[in-house]
This record gives sequence, C-alpha cells and structure tokens, in this order.
Amino acid sequence: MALSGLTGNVLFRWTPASRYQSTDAFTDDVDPKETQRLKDEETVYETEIRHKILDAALGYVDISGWSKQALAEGSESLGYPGVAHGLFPKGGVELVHHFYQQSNERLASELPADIQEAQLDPLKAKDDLKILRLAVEKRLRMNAEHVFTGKWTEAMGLMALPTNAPSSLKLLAHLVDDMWHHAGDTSPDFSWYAKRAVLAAVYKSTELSMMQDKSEDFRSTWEFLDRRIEDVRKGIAMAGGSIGQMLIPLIMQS
Amino acid sequence: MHVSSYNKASNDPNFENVNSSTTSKEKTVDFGFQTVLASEKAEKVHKVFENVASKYDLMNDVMSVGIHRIWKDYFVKKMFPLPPGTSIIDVAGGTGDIAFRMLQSIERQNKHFDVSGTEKNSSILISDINQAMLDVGKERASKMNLQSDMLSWLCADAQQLPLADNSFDLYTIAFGIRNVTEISKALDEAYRVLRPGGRFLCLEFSHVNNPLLKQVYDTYSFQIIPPLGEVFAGDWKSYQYLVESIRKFPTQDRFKEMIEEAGFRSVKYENLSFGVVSIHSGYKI
Amino acid sequence: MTYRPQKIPQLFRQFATSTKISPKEARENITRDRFLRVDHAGEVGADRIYAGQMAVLGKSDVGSVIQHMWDQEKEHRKKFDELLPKYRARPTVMLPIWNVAGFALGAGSAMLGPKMAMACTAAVETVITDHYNDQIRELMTNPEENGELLKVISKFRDEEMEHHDTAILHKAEEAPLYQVFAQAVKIGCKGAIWISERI
Repeated sequence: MALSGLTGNVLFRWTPASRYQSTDAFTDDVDPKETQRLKDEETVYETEIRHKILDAALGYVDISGWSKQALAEGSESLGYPGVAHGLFPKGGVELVHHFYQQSNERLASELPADIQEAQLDPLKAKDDLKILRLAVEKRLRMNAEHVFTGKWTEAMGLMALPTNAPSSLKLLAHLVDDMWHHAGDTSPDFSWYAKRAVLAAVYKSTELSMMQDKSEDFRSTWEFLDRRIEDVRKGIAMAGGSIGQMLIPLIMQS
Repeated sequence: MHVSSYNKASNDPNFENVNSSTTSKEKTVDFGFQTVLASEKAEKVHKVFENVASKYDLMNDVMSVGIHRIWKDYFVKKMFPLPPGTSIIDVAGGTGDIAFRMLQSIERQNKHFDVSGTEKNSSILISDINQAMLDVGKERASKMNLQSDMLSWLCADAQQLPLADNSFDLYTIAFGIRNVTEISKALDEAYRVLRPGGRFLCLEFSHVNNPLLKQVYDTYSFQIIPPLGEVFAGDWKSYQYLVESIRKFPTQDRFKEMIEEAGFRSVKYENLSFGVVSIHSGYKI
Repeated sequence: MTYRPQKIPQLFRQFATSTKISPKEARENITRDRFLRVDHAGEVGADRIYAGQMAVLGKSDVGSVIQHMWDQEKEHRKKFDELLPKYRARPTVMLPIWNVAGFALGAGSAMLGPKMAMACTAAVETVITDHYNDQIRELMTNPEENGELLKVISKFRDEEMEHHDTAILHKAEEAPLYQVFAQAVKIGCKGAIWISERI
C-alpha cells in the first residue's frame, strides 16, 4: 500500500495522529515542545491544502459564484474529489474571505513600492492622506474583476450576514490597519481607533459607490473617493489637527 | 491512579471497546454491557440484526419518535452539493436509509443544476455484513421506484472490504460503526478505500453531556426502549443490546482521535440533539 | 490525551494577519501583542497616578521623591509609545478611562495625605512588579526572539521595584487601614490588567 507522497498529481501524505500519543496511560514522557511542533506541522500542511483548493476555486467564481459549487470545482481541478468542498463548512463565504485576505496581503507587500513611486513619504505628516487615497484605490481595483462580473455584490452580501460579519470586520480592520501603518501612523493613544474607524468608513462607502459605477475605469468612484478624503482633511483642520479630536464633536452630537 | 483507571476501563467510554484481556490470550470486546470474545461478537451482532431487519424502520420511528429521519436528512444534506461522477460507498447501510436519501437528493440536485446527459452519473455502493438487511433494502428500492442503475449492493464486512484501494470519493456509515467488532479496523479500511481528498462521514449515537438531559435520556433508553422492542418487534434482547452498545461507544472526542489515528485529517464532529447522535467528518488529505 | 488539534489552529486562523507566517510565529505574535498592550496601558496608568499625586503634593516635602518616580514612569511610557507601533500592536480601547481613573486614584490618595499616597504607590507597584515577572517568565521560553522586550521589561521591573521600596521607606505601611486600602488598590489594578489584555 503506497500511501505516502504523491498519488498522481494530488498532494497527500499518510501520517496518522497516533504518532503523537504515547501507548500507555502515562503522559509524562511526552515532550510538550515536540508535540506542539508536530501539531504545528500538521496545521501548516492542512492550511496549505486548503489554500490550494481555495486558490483553484477562485477561478470558478465567475461561473458558479461564491459557492460550494465553486469550491467543489476547484478541488476537482486539483485532482481531489468534489466532496472535498466539505473542508470549508461555512461554504462560499470562506472563499470570499480567502480572496479578501489574499488581496490584503498583496496590498501590504506592494504598497511601499507604490508609495515610493508616487514620491510620497510616510514620515511626512502632510502626505498621509495622499498615501491613504492611493492605498484605497489600489485595494479597490483588486476587486474590479468581480465587480465587472457582478459577483462582488454577492460577496458583500455574504460577508454582511450576521454569522460571517465578525470575521469580515476583522479582515477590514486588518486592511485599514495596514494602510495606516504604511501611511506612517505611530499613534499610541485612542486616536489609533479613530483613525482606523474613519478610514474604514471611507473605504466601505467608496466600495459601495464602486458597485453602481458604470463610468469608464471607475472614474466617478475615484472622484467620490477624492471627495471623501477631502472631507476627512477638512474635518481634521476644523478639529485643530488630529483625527481623534475630529471625532469628539461627532460623538457628542450623536 | 493508573491501576484504578485500568479497572474502570470496561465501563469507561473513553477507552476503546477492545481491551487486552489478562486471563486468556484471545481478545475480548464489548457486546452491550457484556464482555465477549472478539470472535463471538460478529455472530451475536449478526443475530441481533437478523432479528430486527423486518421491523427495523418501524422500530426506528417508534424509538426516536421520528427524529431519526431528521438526523439522517441532515447527515445527507451535509455532503451536498455532490458533483456528478462522485462514487459513494455507504457501509452498514443495508436497508438503504441513507443511500436512498442521497439518491433522491442527487436527482433533485441534477434537476436544479441541469446536469447534461454527457456527465458521468454518481454511483452508490451499499454494503452490509448482513444479507437480511440488504434484502430489506432491495425490496424497498423496488417499491420506491428509484433510479436503481446508480445503486449496487455488496454483502461484506466493514473491517475487510473486498474493494480496491483509492476507489471511492465518499465513505458514509450511519448507525453502523458501533456494531463493528473492532472500530479501528473499520476506520483503517475506510481510509484505504477512499481516494486522496475523499471524505469520511459517520453518523452514530453518541454521548449526552448535559447531566440533566443525560438522566432523562438514560431513563428513556433503559426503561422504555427494551419494552417498546418487546411490544412492537417481539424482541427485548436486541433492543437491550442497542441501548447498551450506545453507552459503550467512545465519546465524541475519543472517537475523533480514533479517526485521526487512522490517518484522517481535518476531523471535526457536530452534535445533534444535545449529543444523542453526532456526525464525525474527516478527510484523506 | 495529548493531542487536541482543534483548539489551537482555530485560534491561530482567527488572528493570523498573514497566511505566510507559521502557527508558532502567529502564537508568539498574539502573546507579544497582548503584552505590549497591557504594559502600555499600565505605564499610562502609572504616569497618570503620579501626575495626580503631583497635582496635590507637588509642593510638599515628598514632592521631589514623587517627581523622580514620575520622571521614570514618563520614560517607560515613552518607550512603550515607541514599541507599540513598532510591533504593530494596538493600544487598549480602555485608554481614555485609565487616563481618568489613574489621575483620580493618584489625586484622591494624595488628598488623604502623603502616607496614603505612598501606600497607593506601594500597592500599585507590587502588582506591576508581579505582572512584569509573569511576563518575563513567559518570554524566557524564547529569549532570542524576545530579546528587546525582555531587556526593556526587566529594566522597568527593577525600577518599579525601586518605587515600591521608596514608598515603603516613606512610611506607606503607617497609613491608616493600610492593608484594606492596599488590597482594594491591588484588586483594581489586577482588574485593569485583565481588561487591558483583552480589549
């Protein structure tokens, strides 16, 4: 029974979990560090396969949408049986989150070069809104292909479902945190939250405006974004220089 | 502590149902609350199901107040959508309860997705160790007017399937693995016949953890089910075995570990009805 | 049983910002993030306590002693202000509340007299020293990776211990109802730590 290594082109190996377990009832002789290492190894292996399937499934979103169907087609394209879609018990939203996460990572890795190219400096306080403007546009353009096919509305709907909302919000939080980080933010006080909240609002509203945008190359979306950034700039100026203070009247009014 | 846990072993569901006996060389296993020789269990279980085969479905309805249908529907729903060409083996599925549900869902799904005729159709192999149960299933299949070209039948032991390695996409076993003599052997076989990436799904009676509900459940199991068996099927002993074997089955967590020991990954379980039954799922990846 | 794969990966998947990092790194990041957040909150609180004490006792004879301790706390706070963005840890949401609560505790205890202020200092610094010691123990499992944090926290721990000794020297224990008061402050501090670690 040759069960280890590659069967065809399908990634698969046989390492039963029993190797972590001592055979008798005494558990003293188990090295916790070694057990942890093996567990981590398992996690990495499993995550790797999950990501392979998710990546493959992204290619079927155009036709099948963000669905178990797409996940099944993705696994089949890798040589796994379609039933492997059960690896993603939440179904389509896991595919959406994967895409979101992947785009976030791409943004984080590419943004520094783009900032340099645009001759902006994260260390200059004046430039931070320009950098944010650039980052938001860059990130939204990554969704463009799904906006064209009309599948992004579906994705946003899935992400907003109550059961999925917490992880969706976490992804958005990571995204705006990345953007502020690259814009040179080092605030250690409550304005940390204010800045991220403001940017999240800008990002989300621009994303919504992109849904209805029929203009060429989403021109009106970028104009919308410019106006939102301008609002933020005005707000800061009015509050005397900081986003944290800008929020105070907003909170007081509500 | 070590010694006492050894003595407790036979009553503790955390231990596998195979205990190495100190007095005789032959392995002993649980048969309900009795301990019997491993070689005897198969025969005893066989007798139980031969006795109940004809009244099997009626008794399921009576004992679970019809809830077993919901469990089974949910179990089948969990594997969908099934892409065309999926090969399924339903072990210990003699009366076809699970297989027929899958078949109907596949038909419904294909109508919905409008799968063109050129696609290979899925296939379901129903395997059971007991010919009496298979006969009941075949009879039901002909009565139900099912698309029977997708079905095939096999009388085989789950611990020793006469099938090639890597030949199925989905292995299901519903209310069956409890009755297998050595659970780990059946799990190893499941792993062997599945293709890489294939899924193992098991529906089985499990353990209620809530102490209050547990009391209600225990009272019902021991005081009501065997008499019901006597009244409806004229068979007290078989139903006594049923409730006892449920208590002897490993807990959710222990069973999960056993599935992992067979080599499956991404093993998860889900409790239904507070743990009266649970669904375990794992992948050969 | 020794092997329980379900719990850890879920935790790690939930928090990992990047899929490229290993589970071990992800775990360490979570720990570091938590440590930095709570330490920062603690130093902000300490800074505010001394500010409150100085507002009342600034001109008294213990003024210079408190000023010295306050200056050190300011240094600590500055250090964590730098470390927070460096390791991309977020500050605690409760910061504005600790800000006010710290000042109130400092000023309030100072109003009851210098001994009471010192009793407050002794109680707070006891909790902080213990807390730093716990962290050092956990960070020592991987001294190479946590070098910077270990150095900073060890230094601060020593200084906090000094503050505690100074407070005792200035007759903290002679304050009325010292034991009761110290217990109350300690419980409060531990609660604040518990909250700051989490949100």
